[in-house]
Amino acid sequence: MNTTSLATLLAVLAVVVGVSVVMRPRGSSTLDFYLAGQKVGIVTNAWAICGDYLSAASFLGVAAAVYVSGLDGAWYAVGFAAGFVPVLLFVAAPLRRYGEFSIPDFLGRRLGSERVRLVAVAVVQLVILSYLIPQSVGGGITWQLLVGEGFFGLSPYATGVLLSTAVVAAIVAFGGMRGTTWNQAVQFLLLLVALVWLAAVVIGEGFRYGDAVDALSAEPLANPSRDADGWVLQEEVNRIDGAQPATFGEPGARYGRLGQFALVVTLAMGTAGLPHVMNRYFTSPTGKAARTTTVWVLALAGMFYALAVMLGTAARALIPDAVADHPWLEDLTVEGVLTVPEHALPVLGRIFGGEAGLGVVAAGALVALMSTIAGLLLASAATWGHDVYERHINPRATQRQAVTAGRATTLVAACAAAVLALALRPEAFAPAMPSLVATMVTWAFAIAGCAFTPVFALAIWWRGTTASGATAGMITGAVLAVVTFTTGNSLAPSALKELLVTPTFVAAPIAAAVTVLVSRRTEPPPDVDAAWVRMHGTAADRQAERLARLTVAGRRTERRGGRRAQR
Amino acid sequence: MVLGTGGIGASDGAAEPPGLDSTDTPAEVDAAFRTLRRVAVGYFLVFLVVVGGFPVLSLTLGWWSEARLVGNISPGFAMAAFGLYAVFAVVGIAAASLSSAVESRMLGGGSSEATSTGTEDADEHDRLPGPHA
Repeated sequence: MNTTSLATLLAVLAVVVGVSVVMRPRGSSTLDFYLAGQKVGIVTNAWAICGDYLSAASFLGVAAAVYVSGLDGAWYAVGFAAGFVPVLLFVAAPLRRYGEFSIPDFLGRRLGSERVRLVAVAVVQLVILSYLIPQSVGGGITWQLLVGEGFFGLSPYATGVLLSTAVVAAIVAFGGMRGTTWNQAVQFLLLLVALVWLAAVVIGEGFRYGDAVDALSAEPLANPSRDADGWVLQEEVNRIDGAQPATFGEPGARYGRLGQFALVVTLAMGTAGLPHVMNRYFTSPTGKAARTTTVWVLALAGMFYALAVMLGTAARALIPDAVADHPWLEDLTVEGVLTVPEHALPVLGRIFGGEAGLGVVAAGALVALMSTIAGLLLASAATWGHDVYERHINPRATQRQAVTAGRATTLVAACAAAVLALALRPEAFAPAMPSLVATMVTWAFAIAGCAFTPVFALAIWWRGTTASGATAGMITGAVLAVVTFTTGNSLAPSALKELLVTPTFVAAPIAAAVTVLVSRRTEPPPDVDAAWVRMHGTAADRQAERLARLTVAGRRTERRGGRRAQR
Repeated sequence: MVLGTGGIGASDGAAEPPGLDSTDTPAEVDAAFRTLRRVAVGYFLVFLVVVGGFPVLSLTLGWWSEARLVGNISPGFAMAAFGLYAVFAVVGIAAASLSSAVESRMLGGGSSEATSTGTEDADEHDRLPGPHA
């Protein structure tokens, strides 16, 4: 480990720990621990949601997917960015106005059913685990590149997985939602700075976007593949027109006609069902603030993904020519193409910024995955601590006991993710997937989009939704998602495989249909009118805004009084 | 009937200043809900057309991949690289502005409209501008 790498690591850790200490929960209530007292402002929450959402899959994975698949890789960026449009249109404001702790809590109360709550807890845990594992994998990959050494006899990858997960688990257990919110906000800004810096450096060195795409598209797209003799460069098959070679700037290098649309639908519809992102909406002071926050998120996330796509292209265009001047690249590449596509941004940082550049990008990757792991662990804690422990295991629990239970569950979830991430070797998946990290996150989006999004939309916008309908819909969606993408991954490349590995396009409508059919045969909860007024009315918003204005006016009066007294 | 003030952090038991309306009636909310649902579905259709139209253009229109815009970049790659994110932001800003305008016009007014039926109110406000108009 060189001095720059060490300084980078220490600086990141100092920022994260410092923010957690300064912004730790002020009280010991569950409202403070899980929801930061519901006083998070619009811009801060937008930054925090971006920090939460823009994970290793976005930072390392999108650039990697573009690097390895060209235009087809950009579909990840489009799908991830598109996800907040349905959130804004259908979920953000009503969800906040109903004002519960977690997705299971929202569904449990809205539909008046503990069974719905417990089924939702199970699905939330499935989504969280699917999302946590690739973040831990990202931690291992980043450590491999940044530090390159293992501790306690472990490999560099294993050391990175264990350390990144353990540090975040400890910080979340200590800082709760308040500390995590500010950490995620600061981490998003660090992440954006890292991307903007890298983009500026690359453009400053003469990179021209259009010319690079043009040059890359002039020859067939080829990527490293391991066979009996070792790594070789293999041309990608064009999945749209088999007679033509696949190229960087045109669709077909990874997905066929249906696959592109299925991927975008899976990512776009999954966001509304992601527990760690939806939980952040409960921290907004009002429904209107939650909606405005989402507009900010759309703009910020769009900027982020546009930069990630550009840098994936830059890595593809610039790394082959850099091998001659940078001998360390020989170990990471085959004929100038990276064997692990997730290395694209860190390598670009090292080429143009030396060890300091690698440090900046690796710091960005670390904060990306740390902020997402933090959000996931907190969402896990909220469901176990609030929905299971407080509701079913110890209904007479004090606030302190409930918070302690939440803290303990963060550690359990972190351990499970780390163990599973250790079982994976990213390089073994590179030939089969555009990016292991981005692909695994897609599975989480698939489960969320099939199990939660349809039920969510119906519970918010259709009075007739019942507990039995929601339970049937969630189970159908989750089972279909898992079965289809597991089956799809065992198939040879084909249109059917593309549909099965990104199943929301088919499975979400089925889950919605099951929810409607079962709901029609059962009775809706009796207090649906009251729920409607609470969810779609703005009385609580107006009251909160009025109280905020009164508070501000009161503070001004106090200050004026203080000044007069001083005179 | 006082509704709509429940939920965590929604009221915190604070006393309501006299003369200020902080309640919504079910009829008011139903009318606003129906209008908001139309706004959301309308913009969602716009969103679907944009997202679904992109691969269709890529696969059917040669010009989409072959033409060159400023910076020597094709229209298809330009949309995936930055155009679509701008479209999403514009759709988001427009939908959020219209939804908030609908809420502020239809809820919290304390007018006599509050006692009329939800369907009538929804029809009344169908004339609001939006993708469905």
